[in-house]
Amino acid sequence: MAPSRAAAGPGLTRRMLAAVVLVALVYAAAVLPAFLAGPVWGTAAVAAAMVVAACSARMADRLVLHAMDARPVDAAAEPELHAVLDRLCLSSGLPKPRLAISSKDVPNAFAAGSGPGSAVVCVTEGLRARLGPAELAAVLAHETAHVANRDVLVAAVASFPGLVGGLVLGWWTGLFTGRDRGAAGRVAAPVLGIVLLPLGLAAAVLHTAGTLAWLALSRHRELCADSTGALLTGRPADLASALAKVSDDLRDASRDDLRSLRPAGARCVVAARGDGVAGLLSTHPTLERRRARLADLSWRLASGG
Amino acid sequence: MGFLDTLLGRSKPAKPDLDQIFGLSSAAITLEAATGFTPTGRGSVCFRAAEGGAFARLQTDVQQLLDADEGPKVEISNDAYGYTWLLATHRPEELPDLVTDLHAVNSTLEAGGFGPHLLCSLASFRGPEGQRLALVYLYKRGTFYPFAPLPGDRRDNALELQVRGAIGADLPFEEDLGRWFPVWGAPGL
Repeated sequence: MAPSRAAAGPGLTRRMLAAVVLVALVYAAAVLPAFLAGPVWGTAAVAAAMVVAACSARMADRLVLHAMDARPVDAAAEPELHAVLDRLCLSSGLPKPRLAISSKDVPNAFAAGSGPGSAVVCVTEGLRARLGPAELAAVLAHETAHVANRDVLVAAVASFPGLVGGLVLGWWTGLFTGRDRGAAGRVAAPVLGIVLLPLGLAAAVLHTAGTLAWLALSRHRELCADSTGALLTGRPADLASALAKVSDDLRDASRDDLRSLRPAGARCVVAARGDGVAGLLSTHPTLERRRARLADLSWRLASGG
Repeated sequence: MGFLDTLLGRSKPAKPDLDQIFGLSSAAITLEAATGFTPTGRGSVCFRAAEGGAFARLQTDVQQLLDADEGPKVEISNDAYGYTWLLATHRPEELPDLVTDLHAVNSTLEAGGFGPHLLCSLASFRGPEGQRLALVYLYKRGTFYPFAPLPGDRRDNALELQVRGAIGADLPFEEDLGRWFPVWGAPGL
C-alpha cells in the first residue's frame, strides 16, 4: 500500500470543521428572524444570502484584478511562468488557471475566481524580481492549491455576514453622528436610531462574530494551501524560503506599498501587514506556524512516511 | 471534488490507471499504418524530485532496475524548471520493452507514494519526412495526447489532430485540448 500524504492532517481538518460550523452559526443567527416566519422562509433566506455572497465574490474578483493593475498574459508573452504553471497542472490534474501579472513592486501573489474553471492566478512584478524559479514555482503551487480548494468562493461566503453586519452597523451609527442633513433630519435620525437599537446591536454582534469566524477559517485555509502546494511540488523548503523572503520584504516595505496591496488583502500569499497583527485578528497564520508545518512536511517526505 | 472536500479544503487525487500505458504498443501499430510514423525506441518519464533521502533512494532504485537489462543505460537530466527526466533508449522495434520501462518507473514512484510528483511519460515517433512526434501520457488523468513540435517553439496542431483521428479509438485520449500541455525540449523527443 502506497503511503498517501493527505495535505490536511486530522487535527487541521477538525479545526477547519469547527471554523466552518462557526460560519454556519453566524449565518443561522443572521437569518433566525426569517426562520421564525417559517422553515421555508428561513431556508430561502439562507440560500439568498449565499447566492448574494457568491455574486459579490464574482464582482470582487474583477475589482481586485483591476485595483492591483493586473493584466492577463499569454504563453507567448511569459513563456517561463506559463511553463511553471503548465507543469503544476500536469502533475495536479487541474485545469490551467489564467495567468496575470500585476505591475506592483511589492512582492506578493494572489488567486481570484471562484472555481477551477474561471480562476486567475496573479503574481506581482516585485515577486518575480525577488524569488528564484523554484521559489516562484512554490508560490504558484500555493495559489493553485487555493484554486483547487475554491478558497476564494469559501472566503466570500464566510466573510459576507461580517461584511453586511459592518455595513448595517456603519449606517446605524451614522444616524447619531451624521451631519449632512436638515434640521428635521437632525431630530428624527437619532430617534430612529433609538427605535432601531436592537438592529444596531444585532449588526454589531453579527459584524464581530462574522469577522472572527471568517478570519479563523481564512487562517486554516492558508495552512491547507501551504500543505497542498508543498506536496504538489514536493519541496516544502522552497515554499518556506519564499514565504520568509516575502515577509522580510513586506516588513521593510513602505506604507504606500502596503496600502497598494490592500485590495487583494486576505488573498495574498503573505498577509500585507506582516507580523504586526497576529492571532485572532489576522487573515494569515504567523510565519513561524507556517514554517513549522512545512518543516514537518519536509521531514515526512524525507522519511518516506 | 465533493462539496465536503471543498468545505474542508481537501483535494482528493483521482485514482490513476497506470495499465493504460501498455496500450501504447498496439496504438503504435495503428499509428504506423495510418500515418507512417514509426517509434524511435526512445521514451522518457518526467517527475519533480521531492526533497529528502526517501526520494533520492527511490530514484537510485529505479535507475538500477532499468539498467539491469542489456543495452544503453538510462540517462538522467534536469530541466530549467527543476524537473527530472529519465530517458530510456531501446531499439526502434523494441517498443514493448520501452513501454515496460516507462510503466516500471511510474509504478515504482507510485508505490513509494510519489505518484503526485509524476508529470508525464512520453514515447517518441518519427514521421516519414523526419517530423517529430511524442505521445504523452498524463499520469494524473490516465490519458494520452500528441505533441508535435516544429522548429522555433511552434506546434504542428494539424498533425496532432490527425494523430488523434488515427489512434483516438486505441488509447484513452485527453478530451480537453487545453490540457495538451507542450513539453518543449523533452529528452528523447
